Amino acid sequence: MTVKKAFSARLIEKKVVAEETLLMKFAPDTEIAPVPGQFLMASVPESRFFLKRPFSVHFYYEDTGYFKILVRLRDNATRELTSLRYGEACDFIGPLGNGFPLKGIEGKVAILAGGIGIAPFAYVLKSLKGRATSIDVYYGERERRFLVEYWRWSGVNTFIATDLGDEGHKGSVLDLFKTGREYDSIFLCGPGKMLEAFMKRYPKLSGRSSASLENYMACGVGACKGCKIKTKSGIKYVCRDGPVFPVSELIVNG
Amino acid sequence: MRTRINGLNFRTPLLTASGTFSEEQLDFYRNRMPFGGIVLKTHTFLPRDGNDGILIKEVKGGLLNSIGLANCGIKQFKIGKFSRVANAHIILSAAIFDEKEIGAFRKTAEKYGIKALELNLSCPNIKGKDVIEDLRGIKGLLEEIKSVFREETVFAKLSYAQVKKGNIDLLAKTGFNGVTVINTVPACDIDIGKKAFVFEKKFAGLSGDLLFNMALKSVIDIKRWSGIPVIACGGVSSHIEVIKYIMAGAHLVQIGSRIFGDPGAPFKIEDGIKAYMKENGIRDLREIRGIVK
Ligand SMILES: Cc1cc2nc3c(=O)[nH]c(=O)nc-3n(C[C@H](O)[C@H](O)[C@H](O)COP(=O)(O)OP(=O)(O)OC[C@H]3O[C@@H](n4cnc5c(N)ncnc54)[C@H](O)[C@@H]3O)c2cc1C
Ligand SMILES: Cc1cc2nc3c(=O)[nH]c(=O)nc-3n(C[C@H](O)[C@H](O)[C@H](O)COP(=O)(O)O)c2cc1C
Ligand code: FES
Repeated sequence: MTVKKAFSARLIEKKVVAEETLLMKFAPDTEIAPVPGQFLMASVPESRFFLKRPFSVHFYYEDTGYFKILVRLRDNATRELTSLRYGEACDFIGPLGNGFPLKGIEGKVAILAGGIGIAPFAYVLKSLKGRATSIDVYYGERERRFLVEYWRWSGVNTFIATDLGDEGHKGSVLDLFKTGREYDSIFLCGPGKMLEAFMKRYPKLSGRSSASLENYMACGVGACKGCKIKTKSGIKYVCRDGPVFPVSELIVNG
Repeated sequence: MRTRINGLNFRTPLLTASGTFSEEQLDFYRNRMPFGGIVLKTHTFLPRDGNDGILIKEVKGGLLNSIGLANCGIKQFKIGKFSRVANAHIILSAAIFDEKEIGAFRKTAEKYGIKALELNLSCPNIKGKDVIEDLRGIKGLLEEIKSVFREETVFAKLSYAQVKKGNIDLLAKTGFNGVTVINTVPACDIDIGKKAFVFEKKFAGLSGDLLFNMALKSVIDIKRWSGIPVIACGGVSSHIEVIKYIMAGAHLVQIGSRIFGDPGAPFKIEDGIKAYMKENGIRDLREIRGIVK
């Protein structure tokens, strides 16, 4: 179990990697040692907003302790966060949540990402390399300009789908996924609609699938009870019990 | 900074506010405990799933919540990591709707050696939808609770609408050891895209900065009416609000939803109070308690 901390981190790199999407690299003032799929709550110091916002750990460097987050602009806090300048400090809480169940993973792995749901997978892939026999990434976006451009990892097969059809397949990533039966483990992160479609289309794959969920969060740790979901084994909290859940536990519209 | 109420010594005048602090947050306070007491999430007799749909939304100056008292029921209560907290009092928060329920809360308090209770009178009655504005309607229940918890320190937590002279007098007469003010304030919000209420239950509880000046007035009012100790709650984000509450007459001050976004706030607040006391030559908070009337 990683110990969660409230810490400060300096911004050491920032670049636009797709439309409305920024990659931000931070040097924390403490060792955070997250596991892939965990998230952080972030806010700038003296923020105009009352709450921090959740962001997945996009990448973690074991040697330096630096980490990256990938931020898609929404409105309020994401604008404030992405206007941080080099060298400025940002406040975080984390690492939080459980992360993807990567222990003992081998065989064929599929990753299904929709939109900014791609965020946790850079670090997941780093951890899977050398263990999985093959990794197929299915990545869907609205249109080409939103696709995170540098998405060309070596040793990974990438299948792209866009709603507009200006890159890859026109339509859902699930169209490319076909039966999915060849995979030993499937990891998902994306909009609720993608997950719902997956659950309806592939009920038989739920036993080997894990999905990272989103919800409104105030505390990110399990205190406010605001991120409740209903699962087959009762009420769970996305921040504390997740954000990654076995798909077999999930209820459509839970 | 020590504060004494009914024989209980609080190392600092800072408490957590019910429903905003859970054992998971103890990680942040491993090396330093800024609180003199920790008020636990309100428990009811029966388990409650709470509300559905969106449960939390940030608004300007605060937070709306529609959690709906989700809890496992007092019989399932587990103290967990709070058992390891040595230097802060653990305060059980209870919403009791019927005399028959009191025994279960008593058992839990005994089992874990809990010496203080905050009775949440500001949540909607189990039968009705609204909070009871006139506590005379539950006089018998209040008397029974205080007699069962005779030895313990019992606070009654009120909402803004319940801060009335008649209610305060009744609580003081019944032997309550303090009044906590205020709980969240009923509020609502609209989603203009959906042309609908944001929350399924329409109304939600407002907390955060916006509450401070309302709660401050409540403290002033109560101190005007009664000698009962006041535990102030609402909109604390720095030591300044804490000092204002104490000047208004509060014994203890709770930090609520601020802690979600800033777990470090209690440290800054504790340091801020100390620095203020030093700068102003104050050795004991009693010197300024209730100084503004
Ligand atoms: C576990 C988890 C991991 C996430 N990882 C990433 C990531 O890596 N990159 C990324 O760009 N985004 C991520 N998000 C989503 C991100 O948290 C929201 O986009 C962000 O909070 C929006 O903030 P805002 O103030 O700019 O948006 P607002 O303008 O306030 O609202 C826009 C929308 O953002 C969402 N939102 C707002 N506040 C919250 C909140 N407190 N909690 C959750 N959602 C909220 C709501 O859907 C809202 O409608 C993640 C969310 C969760 C729950
Ligand atoms: C998410 C949330 C849950 C809460 N749950 C409870 C509760 O169970 N019992 C209670 O008496 N008050 C509850 N409250 C109210 C707080 O204890 C406090 O009275 C209120 O938030 C005002 O203080 P603040 O402005 O410092 O947050 C809750 C508040 C929030 C934000
Ligand atoms: S965000 Fe507070 S409990 Fe999950």
